[in-house]
Amino acid sequence: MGSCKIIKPGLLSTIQDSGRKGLRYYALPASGYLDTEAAHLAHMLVGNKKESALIECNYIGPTIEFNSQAYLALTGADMQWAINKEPIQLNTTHAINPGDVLSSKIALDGIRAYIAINGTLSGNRHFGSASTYLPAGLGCNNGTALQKGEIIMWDEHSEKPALISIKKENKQSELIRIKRGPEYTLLTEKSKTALIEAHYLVTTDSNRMGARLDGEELETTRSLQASVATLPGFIQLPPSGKPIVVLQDGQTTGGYPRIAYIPEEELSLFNQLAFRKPFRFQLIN
Amino acid sequence: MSTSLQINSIDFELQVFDRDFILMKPLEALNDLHLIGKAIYKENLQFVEEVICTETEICLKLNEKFTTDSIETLQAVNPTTNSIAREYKLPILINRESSDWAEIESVSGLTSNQYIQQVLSSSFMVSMLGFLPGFLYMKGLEKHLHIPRKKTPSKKVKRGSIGIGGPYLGLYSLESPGGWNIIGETPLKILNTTALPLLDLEPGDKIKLKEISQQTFSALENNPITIEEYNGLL
Repeated sequence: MGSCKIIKPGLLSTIQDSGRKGLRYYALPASGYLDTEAAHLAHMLVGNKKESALIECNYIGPTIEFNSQAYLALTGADMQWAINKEPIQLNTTHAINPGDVLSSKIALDGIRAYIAINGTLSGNRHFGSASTYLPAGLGCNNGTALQKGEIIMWDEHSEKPALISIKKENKQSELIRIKRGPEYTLLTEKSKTALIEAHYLVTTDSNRMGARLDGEELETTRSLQASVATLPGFIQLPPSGKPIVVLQDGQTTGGYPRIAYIPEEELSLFNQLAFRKPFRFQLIN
Repeated sequence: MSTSLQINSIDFELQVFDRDFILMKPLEALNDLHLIGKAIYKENLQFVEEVICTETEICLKLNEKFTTDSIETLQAVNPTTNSIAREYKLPILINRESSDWAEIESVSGLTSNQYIQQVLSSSFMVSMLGFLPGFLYMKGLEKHLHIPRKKTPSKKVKRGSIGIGGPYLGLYSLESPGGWNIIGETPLKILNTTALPLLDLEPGDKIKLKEISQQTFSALENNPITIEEYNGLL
C-alpha cells in the first residue's frame, strides 16, 4: 500500500475517474474527468487502465509529500510542477522516492491538470465510481475536495510502468466548435450572428457544474414554459443573456433555452480554456 | 434530423442531433410521459448512455453503438400502461417562521394559515425528477396557490426543505442554493446514495402532505425510516 500526504490542497483538487454513467434518469450527473484526453494520457504513462481514479487539479495545484515509492505522471495544464523544488517534465513517467515533495503553482496554460499514480486509489466507490461529486458527497474521499493534512492511499500494481516521455504541446484553442441546440431557432437573427462572431470568455464564477460566460448578450424570441433535459456541453441561455455551459457535474434539467451544444469530443478543449481568455464559437452543423 | 415515432399508439416527434442525443416530444401534451421514460430506462438499450424524462420530452444521450436500426429498437419498447400509482403521505413540519410567507401571502392574497390549510388538503403527483439528485417536482397546486420563484435565489436551502415554485410543490433532498418559497421541512430521506433505486419516490406516485409536530419531526430525524415504512405506521 502506497501513501502520500496533502501539504497544500490547491484551489480545488478532487479525485475523478470516468464517472458514474446512466444515472441522469435519477437526476444524478456522471461527474468524471473535465479533460478526458489528458486524464487518459496520465493513466497510460503510469500503466493504469484509462477509466481509473486520479487527482484532478483546478487552476492552482497542490503540494504533496510522498511516504512511499511511487510512479506518477502529470498531464493537462502546466502547473509548474517540481519534485523537491526541481522542475520536472509534463507528460512523463516519474519515479518518486519516499520523502519526495511534489509541488506546483498557478497554471500557465489551461486550467485543469492530472496527477496519476501507478495503482488503484483507495476509498469509497458510489455506483462503481470514485468520482467526487460535491453536492451529494459522493466518491472517494467521502465526496469532498482534498484537504490539508489528508492521507491518500493506493494499491500499487505489481507491474512497474516503463519510463516514458511524450512530446505534446498544450492546445489553447481560440475557436470552440459547437452544434445547433434544440432551441437554436429561438435566437434572434442578431443573436445567431453574435453567437459565432462575438468573443466570449469563461468567468471565474464557474465550477465543475457549469462555466459562466461573459461577452455579448444574446436574446431569444421567447422563454421556455417547462423544464427540459440538459447534458454536459449544453449551452443554456438564462434571462441575463450571458450563456452558461453545463459541465460534468451539471444539473440534469433546466428552464433555459438550449441554444447550442459543445460536442463531447470538443468538451476537453473547452474545459482547458484559461479564465477570461477570449475565444469564439464556430458552428459546425 | 426530425422524424416521427410511435410508442403505444402515442405519436412522437423525434429530433436526432447527429449521433449525440435524441429528443422525443409527444405531439400532444401527455400526463404520463414518465411511463414511457421509465420503460426506456428499464430497457437498458445498448445505444443509450443516459435517459432524462421531463414533463414535455424524453432525452436520450447516444453512444457509439447507435445505428440507423436503433430507432426501430426504440419503437419496440413496450411500457406497462396498467400500473397502479402508489400513494404516500409525506410528513411535513410547517415552518411558520419562514421569511418566504410575506411573498406567499402577498401573491396569493391568503393568510399563511389559509394557505397552509389549502396546501395540506391538495393532492399531488410526482411529475419529474431534476435538476439535482433527489429534487422532486410535484403537480397539484390549484392556480391561486401558484407562487413564482424568487428573483434572487437563496444561497443555501436546507436538505428536506419543501417549497413552492410556480405551479409546483418541490422537495430538496440535498442542501443547495434555491429559489423556491419554503413552507416547511420533511424529516424523511428519500435519496439513497449507496444503492439503486436512487429515490424512494418516482414520477406518477401520488402524494399528500401530512403536518407533523416538532416532536414527531425530531423522532423521525433521529431514527430514519423510509417513506414506505412511515406510511406503514400510519
